[in-house]
Amino acid sequence: MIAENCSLTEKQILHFETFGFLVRRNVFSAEEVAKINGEFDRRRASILAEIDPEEKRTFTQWPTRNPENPFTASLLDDQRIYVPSEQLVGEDSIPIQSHCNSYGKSSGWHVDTFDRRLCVIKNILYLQPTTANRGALRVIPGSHRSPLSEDLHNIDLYGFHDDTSPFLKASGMRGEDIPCYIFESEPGDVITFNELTWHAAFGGYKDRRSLSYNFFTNPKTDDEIESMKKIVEHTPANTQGLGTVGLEYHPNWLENADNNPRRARWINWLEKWGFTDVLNN
Amino acid sequence: MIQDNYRISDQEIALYKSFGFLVRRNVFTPEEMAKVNEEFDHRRASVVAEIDPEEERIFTQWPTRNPETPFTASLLEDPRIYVPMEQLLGEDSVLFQSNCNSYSWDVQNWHYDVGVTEIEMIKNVMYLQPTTANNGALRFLPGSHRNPLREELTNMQLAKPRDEIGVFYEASGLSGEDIPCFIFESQPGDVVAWNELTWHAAFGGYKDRRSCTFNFIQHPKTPKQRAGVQDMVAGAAHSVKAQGTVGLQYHPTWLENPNNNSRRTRWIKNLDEWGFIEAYNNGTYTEKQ
Repeated sequence: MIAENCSLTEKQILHFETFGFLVRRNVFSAEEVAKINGEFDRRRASILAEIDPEEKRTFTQWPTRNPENPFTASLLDDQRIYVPSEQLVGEDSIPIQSHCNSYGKSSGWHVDTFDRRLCVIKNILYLQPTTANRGALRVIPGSHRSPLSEDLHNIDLYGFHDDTSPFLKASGMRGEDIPCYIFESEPGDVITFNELTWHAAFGGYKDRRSLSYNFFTNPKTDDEIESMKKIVEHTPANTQGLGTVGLEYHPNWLENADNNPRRARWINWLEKWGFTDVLNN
Repeated sequence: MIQDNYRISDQEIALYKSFGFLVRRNVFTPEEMAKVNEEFDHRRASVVAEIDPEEERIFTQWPTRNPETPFTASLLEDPRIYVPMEQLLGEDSVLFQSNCNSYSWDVQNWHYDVGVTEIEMIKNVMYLQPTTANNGALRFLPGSHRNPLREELTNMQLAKPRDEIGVFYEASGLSGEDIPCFIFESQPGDVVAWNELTWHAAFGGYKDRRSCTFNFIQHPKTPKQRAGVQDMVAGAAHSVKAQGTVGLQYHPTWLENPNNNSRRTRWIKNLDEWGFIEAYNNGTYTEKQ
C-alpha cells in the first residue's frame, strides 16, 4: 500500500519487524522503469567498455549517484525510497551505498551483514520481471532474528557463490530446496529487507538487473558506534571485492546544487564518518 | 531424500528443528496413492451416507485405523511414516491420531494446531491430489513454532475466525494469501511433517480436497510433559464431536493387533495408559494421576 505521503502503515512496519522484510507492489510506474532501464543500458555499455572482460565477477556494479543516469540518481531523493526507510531505521538514517547491479549468475543463501548491533536495510527494485525459476529473490521470513538466524548460521547454510554452502553440499539438497518466500515481481515493485535476513536468488541469467539502496541507522550507542567504525574500516576491501566501477559519491552529487537539506545532512554525515574518503578514494 | 532404511539425514533433522516442518518428496508411489484414493472414494461414500448433508463442516473426517481402508491403515506402520518420527520425537513416540479428510471449506486461515507447548507433536500430511498456491497448497511460516515469532504472530492476531475479516487483516488491507510464507506445492506421494505449533494455512481449496494425516506425540518423561499429554487427551475428548469425526479413532480390529506387531502393542499400551483410547473412542476423559 503506497500511502499518498509515501509513509508505511503501522501494520507494514509491524510486518517488516516480524518477517524481516516488506514487499510493496507498483511503487514505480512502467514509464519510470523504462527510463531507468534506458539509463541502465547506456551506463552498462560504457562500464563494460572500461572493465576487463576476462575478469570473473559476481556482477557488474556501479553507483547510482552519477550524472550519467540522472533519473536513477534522483530516486535516492524520492520519498518512495527514503520515507519508508526513515520510518524503519530512523529519521536520521543514511543511504551509505546505492548501486545499479547487472548480475551474471544466481546468488546462494547468505546474509548481507553478520553484525547484529546496527540495523541496516536494503531496498531493491528489479528492472525485469522475476519468477521462481528466473532470478526471483527468495527470503526466509523471520530469519533476521534468533533462534532462526543463529540456527541457519550454525548449520552452515551460508554459500553466496555457486552454492558453496557446506550444508547443501553435505545434504545433497539444492538452494531451491530451502523453504522460503519467493518474491516474484514486476518492475516497479520494491522489496525492503533487514540485511540480517537470509536471502538468495536462483535461475539467474546474464544481465539480471537491480537497483539497491542501503539505509543505515545513525549510530548512537557504544555498540552501534563501534559497528559503524568497523564498517568504515572494511569498506575499501569490500568495495574492491565487489568490483564497483565509479565513485560512490560523484562530485556532481556532492555539490548538492539544489541545496536539498536531506542530502546536505547525508553529505555531512558521510564525510564525518569517513565514507566519502574511503569510497571515493 | 528417502534413504533405503527410511531414515532422514542429519541435515533434514536440522531443517525440521529450525523451520518447524520438513518436506519429503516422492515418499509413496503413484500406484500406492491410487490405492489410497480408491479406499478414500469408498469410505467417503459410506461416511457421507451416514452424516447430515445440511450440517456445516470444515471437513468430512474418518480415522484411518479402519478395516474398510486396509491399505491406508497399513501406512501407520510403514517405516516411511514412523522411522522419521521416531528420529525426531524419540524411539518411544506414539502415533496418537490418524485421519482421512475430505475438506469442504476453501480456506484454512492461518493457525497452529495445538496450544500445548509442554510436549512435542508432529503431524504428517499427504495430499491425495496435486496442490498449488491457488489450489489448496499448505503454507507455512518458517520458524513459527518457536518464540519470539510464534507469540508475535498471535499478538498480531494473524489467526481469525472464518466468517470475520479479522482485526489484523482489516487494519493492514492484507489477505491471508499475502502473508509471506513457504508454499508446499505438492504431488500425491509427497509428505510434509510439521511441529504442531508451526503456523500454517491453505487457500484456494475446493470440495473434497483430500488428505491423510498421521500425528505423533513424544513419550512424556517429566511432570510438565505428562501434564501436556493430559491436556491433549482432554482436548481429544471434545474434538471428536467438534470436528464431526465419523467412526472410532482406534477400531477394535486395530486394537486386537492380530499380527502382534510390537510397535503397535507399545502404542496401544501407551494410548490406553494416557487416556487417548477412552477420549477418542468414548468422548470421555478421566484425569490421570
